[in-house]
Amino acid sequence: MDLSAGARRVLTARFIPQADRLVRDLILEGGGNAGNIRQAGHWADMRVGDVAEAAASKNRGAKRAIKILKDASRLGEEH
Amino acid sequence: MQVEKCQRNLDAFYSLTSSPEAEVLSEVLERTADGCRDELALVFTSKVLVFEANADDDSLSVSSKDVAEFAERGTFQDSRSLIWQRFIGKPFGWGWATVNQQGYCDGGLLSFESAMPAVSLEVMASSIEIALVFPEDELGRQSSGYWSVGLVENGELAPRHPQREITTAPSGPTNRLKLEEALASACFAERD
Repeated sequence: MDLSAGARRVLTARFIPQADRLVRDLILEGGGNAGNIRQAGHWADMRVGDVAEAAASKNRGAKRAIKILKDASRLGEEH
Repeated sequence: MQVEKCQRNLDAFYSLTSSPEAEVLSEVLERTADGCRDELALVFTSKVLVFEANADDDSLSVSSKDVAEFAERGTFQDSRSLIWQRFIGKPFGWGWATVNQQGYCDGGLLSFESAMPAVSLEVMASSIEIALVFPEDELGRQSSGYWSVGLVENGELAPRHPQREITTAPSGPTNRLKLEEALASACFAERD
């Protein structure tokens, strides 16, 4: 997926390779739970790259979903 | 590790309250890249508080340095956020490092001239988000209904309030900064 500079900045090098995947899948793989999916709302069923583009355009829901995604991946690192 | 980071952030706040003279806010600068506000610098009388967003995990780092040692100043620009205007000239009060439910320090609270938090900072999607914090009694003084942004007849965006006549609508092509200024002045006029 082609990403704008803003979306790349939002995702960081760590998540750019995952841009085509669903937010929901990455949250769960990272160690997140159903509550995290619920918090992400409808953004959970969108591709990471598309959510990042929306976040770069200042969409608050998309920003929250990206934050949840990063949080979940930290959980995976710890456990 | 996160506890240590949180303590470093608190130490940065403490350095401002330990000087004999009050540290008064003189200007607020920021550094943006690709639309993300990744650094924020609050310049006080003799110290600078620097807030840095860590994009990898959306956490926040706070450091303080002497104004004379703020060598990166040239890479910053004036903050576009209008929130700071009301705190310019006010002394720093308290600083809090906020820890989210995952155990990470991803934000902070600041007060000026009092011990009540007035500004909230939070890192979200690689960017530092800034919000104004209202004490309960100030909210009570607000009229029923909130200021919002809506379309006016000519198709442009303008501040809107269910019980107020808009007199501060920006003219000319819609411009986000102009709109923010009009919205802020409408809110502040009502508060003050």
